Amino acid sequence: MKPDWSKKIIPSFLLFLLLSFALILLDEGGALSGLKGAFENLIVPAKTRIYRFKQSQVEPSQMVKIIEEKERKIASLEGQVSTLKTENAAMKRLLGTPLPSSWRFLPAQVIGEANTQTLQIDKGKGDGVREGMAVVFENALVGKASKVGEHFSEILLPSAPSSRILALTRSSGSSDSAEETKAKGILIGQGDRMNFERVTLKENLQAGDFLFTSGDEFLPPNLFLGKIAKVYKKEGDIFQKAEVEPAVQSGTLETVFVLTYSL
Amino acid sequence: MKYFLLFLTIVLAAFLQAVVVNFNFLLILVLFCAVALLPAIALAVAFISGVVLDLILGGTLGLSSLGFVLPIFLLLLYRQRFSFQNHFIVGIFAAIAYLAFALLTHRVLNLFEGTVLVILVVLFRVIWPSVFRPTQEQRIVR
Repeated sequence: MKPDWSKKIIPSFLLFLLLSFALILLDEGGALSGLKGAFENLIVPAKTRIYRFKQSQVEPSQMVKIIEEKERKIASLEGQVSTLKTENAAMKRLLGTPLPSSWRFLPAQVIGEANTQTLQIDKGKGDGVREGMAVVFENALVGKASKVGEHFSEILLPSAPSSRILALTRSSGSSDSAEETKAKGILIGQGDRMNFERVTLKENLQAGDFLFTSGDEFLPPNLFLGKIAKVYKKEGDIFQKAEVEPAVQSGTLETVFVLTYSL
Repeated sequence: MKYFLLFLTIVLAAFLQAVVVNFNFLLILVLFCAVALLPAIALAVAFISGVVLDLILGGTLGLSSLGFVLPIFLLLLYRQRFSFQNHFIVGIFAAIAYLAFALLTHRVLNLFEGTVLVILVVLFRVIWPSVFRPTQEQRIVR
């Protein structure tokens, strides 16, 4: 009986398999970009509205907790203002490095989070976005365009497990001379956090150091990645590693910029 | 009318999956169709679901169709050999379909999502066992 059953299924299966491959080939060849673009024009506004709605929603039961937490935060922040002012001045010097004027920024609205490792923006191929392009917020790296549609793209965050970024640290010292490269390594996403790895033991890596892109064939240099939170160093090891606090909280972003500058 | 409602459900599930909650509702729907409908229709549902999902998510058109059609084909092939009256078999097939879909479409494997999906499919089996019984056509083939 089995051959009869298989005979019934296989022709339909082959038909849909061929149709699937035909669609993939046509899409990769760009033949369906018009159709996809028209569809995305309908979908993107709806996605944007739902994402904004989700961002603005706070449950009533959470409201009391939020108010209490904010009161505690205010008290704590008042005490930290003077310290932060001093630290802010140092950070401004470090992070305020003007980005090259030849770089072109394409503003894009964040329209959703596909999962905790990617963001979706409302710009795609039709707007000049290509795979691998850097997406920034102020001078911090948000991620890289990983999947590009006609009018929207998916951005792979540095915290995604498949993300690897060549990076280097600079100290957070107060004097300008202290703003020098200290350690080079690779920033590796771990899902909900990031690790700075492959840093040789002889290099000077300290908690509080700032992490920047070192630049490669896809990413420009000097984009802020985060701050070293904790260093793991063991005698006898070849490499040391560190936990990194991300520069941007992806869940709070509304507008980002795609760096359309070709390297 | 029946197939129009099915198409509407596919569109709604794809929209829910792409915009509201990042969970593979469509795979559950497609698995459900694979055990409840005729093979050719189940494969058509798998293909159309993939196209709708790709259009809404903005991925390569046809990739999700491939991700749905291949595991559903396997499930249909073995539908005769295994009894879908067994919770364990249903769970195993749901897990295989989830893995196959994730691998074929280069999606990130999410253990939580996969576990919830398997539990939901098994729950369907418990709540609505008649769907998992062999259809008239299957009985004739047997």
